[in-house]
Amino acid sequence: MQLRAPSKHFSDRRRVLIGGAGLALLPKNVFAKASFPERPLSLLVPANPGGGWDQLARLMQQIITVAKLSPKPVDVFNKGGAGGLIGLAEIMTRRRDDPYTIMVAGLGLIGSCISQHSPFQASETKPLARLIVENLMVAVPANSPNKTMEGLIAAIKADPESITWAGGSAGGTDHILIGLITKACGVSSDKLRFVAYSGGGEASAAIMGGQVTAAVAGYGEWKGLAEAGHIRVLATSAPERFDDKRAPTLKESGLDIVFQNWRGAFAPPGTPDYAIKWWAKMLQEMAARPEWKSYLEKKGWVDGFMGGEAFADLIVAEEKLSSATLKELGIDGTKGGNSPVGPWAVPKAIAALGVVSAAGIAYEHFKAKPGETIAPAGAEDDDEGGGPLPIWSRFLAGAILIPAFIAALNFVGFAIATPIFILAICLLMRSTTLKWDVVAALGITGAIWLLFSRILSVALP
Amino acid sequence: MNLSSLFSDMGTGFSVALAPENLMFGLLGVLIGTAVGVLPGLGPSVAIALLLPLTFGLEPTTAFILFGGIYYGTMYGGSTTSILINTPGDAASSVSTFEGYPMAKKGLGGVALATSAIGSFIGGTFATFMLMIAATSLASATLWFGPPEYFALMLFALTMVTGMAGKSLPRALFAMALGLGLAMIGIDLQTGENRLTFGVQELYGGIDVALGAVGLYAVGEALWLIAAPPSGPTEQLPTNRLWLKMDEWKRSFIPWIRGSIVGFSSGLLPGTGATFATFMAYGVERRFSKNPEEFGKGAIEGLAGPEAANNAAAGASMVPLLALGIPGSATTAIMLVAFQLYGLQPGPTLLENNKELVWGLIASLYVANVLLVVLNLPLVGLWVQLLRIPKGLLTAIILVFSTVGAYSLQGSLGDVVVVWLLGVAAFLLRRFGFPVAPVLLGLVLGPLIEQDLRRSLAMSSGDFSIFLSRPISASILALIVVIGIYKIVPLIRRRNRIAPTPEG
Repeated sequence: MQLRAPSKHFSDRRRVLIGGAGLALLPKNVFAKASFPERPLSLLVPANPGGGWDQLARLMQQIITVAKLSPKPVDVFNKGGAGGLIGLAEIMTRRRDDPYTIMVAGLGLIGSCISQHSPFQASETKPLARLIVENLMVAVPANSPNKTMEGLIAAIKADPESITWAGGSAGGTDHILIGLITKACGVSSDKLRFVAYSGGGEASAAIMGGQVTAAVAGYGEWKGLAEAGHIRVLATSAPERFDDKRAPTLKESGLDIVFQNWRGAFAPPGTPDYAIKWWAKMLQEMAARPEWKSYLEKKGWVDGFMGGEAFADLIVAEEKLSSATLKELGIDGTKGGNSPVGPWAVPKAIAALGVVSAAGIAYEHFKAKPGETIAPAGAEDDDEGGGPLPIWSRFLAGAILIPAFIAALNFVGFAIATPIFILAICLLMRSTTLKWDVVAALGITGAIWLLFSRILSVALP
Repeated sequence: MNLSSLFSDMGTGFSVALAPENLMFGLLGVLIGTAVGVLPGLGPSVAIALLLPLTFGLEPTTAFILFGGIYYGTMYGGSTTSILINTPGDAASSVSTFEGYPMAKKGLGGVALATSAIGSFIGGTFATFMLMIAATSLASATLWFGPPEYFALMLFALTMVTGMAGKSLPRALFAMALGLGLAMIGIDLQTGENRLTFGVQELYGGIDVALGAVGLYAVGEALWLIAAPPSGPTEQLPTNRLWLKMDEWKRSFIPWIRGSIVGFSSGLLPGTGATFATFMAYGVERRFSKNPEEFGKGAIEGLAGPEAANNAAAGASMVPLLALGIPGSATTAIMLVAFQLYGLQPGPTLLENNKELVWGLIASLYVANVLLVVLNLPLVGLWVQLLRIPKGLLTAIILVFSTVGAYSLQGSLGDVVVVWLLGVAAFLLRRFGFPVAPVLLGLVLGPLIEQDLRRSLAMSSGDFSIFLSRPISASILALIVVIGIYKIVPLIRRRNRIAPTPEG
């Protein structure tokens, strides 16, 4: 907790700064009340395309678009990394007062906040609605000797270290459920053998190929694989049977565990009330659509609609619960999981390789005869190493121009910074066709702007 | 598989793919794909994610024909700028700079582009053909590969660094260690520990391979162009020859086939990706080549193999997706989302119940390949005109596109800063005679090799014998040892022979 204090302070200062910027926008916001939304809306997914949050956001986008629930178009943009913290930081800072962006995420985000000591918490946003609940499944390969959950439990109790589990990244919902099962079997968590995969796709290949004993995943994620007979579902973490009562629950199998993942929508903390109202009403309408319900059923998700206030309370409760569970499992960020090879073994081996090769370079250097070059400069450019050597001052000028351009993008924007940057580079390289360069600089800026913001609809700085 | 049913299925497929509307969307897809491929940083998964909302009103078959076109199109487009201006459009095409750019410098830019286009066509067609005849059995075969096998395979790929060493092996190893080290940055998947991020949140997610390719090659090249004084106005790169000579056909043909097979096999394995496939294909060509001394100076084999592998890997990643519903790459992951939005679940049931969609998609992949080669070969003449752009303007364009491309990946200026730093690092490495390719090799293989090593050891509770007790991983490791001996023995012999005559 001590670690967190300075960053929190920093973010408070940043908040004041950004709050100031928001004040300038305030009058416009007041007038915008009745006519919100006036421009396209964004669903920010704090993960890369393809995962559960992304799937939910794209479903929302589809239903909002097809059912015309919004007068303006809705786009989805992914800002992945750090288990969702990069995206969370985005709505807590840069988009703090942006009523046009909401974030689509779930329970996993809360776990990441805790294990990574995030300066921001999910409870600091304005929660809009919980949309879906997803039960997790415990699955084994189709040809596994474990035919029932009871059988697997007996195997865990008999020889815990012979059981390997596959799931998503360490500290995620899959890992938590596996930790709870291990604990409920009366086995110490350091005997748990957990194999983390970065996505459901790779983990599903591992379980189908029998590389691990068992795996945990979202029910919706692997429902299709189970129906096709590629894997066998032993149990779900639901409170009672669902989806045509196909699979037994963990409770029926003698473990007192109910564990449900959920996903929902979060607005930035500075969103004005009229926008919150608009989003909340729209999401409620969306969740009432028949096509929403039929998709959820097909996918194996449960309709878990919960309005803003109840959802906010749930998040606070989940933060407390996750914190306790992660600590118990030893994945609260201080101890790390229990991978037999720790997180620093491979980096150390790489560092050793670096030192050995550096020694080799030194040896080569001293052994070389005078005048002999072992590795000519610019070898990549031309294997003979010929060509004139670069001039340091010009390199420095070029290397400094680029961050200046990046900073300018941030302050004056793309349309002004880009043509100036192009001309600066041309001048630096002593272009002889300056008149044409000016025309080209403007033309290129226009073309890129058109391509990205109009055709690909990617916002430029 | 029954041959006559295959023919009738393909008949259905082509009648779907060649319907005017579908053909039009296929064409649109290859055009968008080519454009996105040329832009540095942007890859097929981003393009498909961006276009997903536009397909909501379309028939699923039409939408997937569009996506298929985009996927193959980016693979074609990415290599164009790699070859001509040493600026890869995405990570997978950075291998094309190794031989393609030296070829362009020798005035063979047109030939290199044609080699690349034909290679892509052969690779893509081969992969589509395999997808058509053996999807289900191939996909099941990939399930034999667990973490130990992946680890052995990645170790095998890592030994290719010896082929990139040029004159100084320690320098290549140092560069590779640098790349591997960069790959360790970010939150560790197995334990959740934050490594080497120094509190910078933008680094928590690690360094994206696409950013690595753009920074190390595009920005590094631009800085070199700025700093190195022009070597005289005599430098005239473009030539009029845009087509291969008989000799070039002969030298490219076997690499195209080999690259297709290598690329297809690596692309089948979930999680490895097209970048890995191109590195493998390059290593294989270098090992089998009759003209090893030409590598690094514009050996056409070293371009033909990876170019075929690139597209073969893209096609291969569709195999586990369609046959089992396993997304093996970022692009197939977003395609799986698209399938599910249409209420479809890829896998055996899809192959049975939605014949029109599946066979239409397969047929359209053939069509996309034909469209791309027909489109790209005449474009070769146009592309080489890029080289006529004055150096100053060209450098500025490379930098602007790199910046915008890196920014648009995540909408983050932090990524742009990473790209700039990598560019500066690449310049310095090059200035002091270090090869840059091993850095990228390390960055690509680092996460895979580390995670699979640790997954294997988690499976065996820390017992290293797991790598030897499993037949596939044991054979790959044995192969590494055999090749190592085969390489080292002549080296020692030569040294012994040279030693008495200190003349060097």
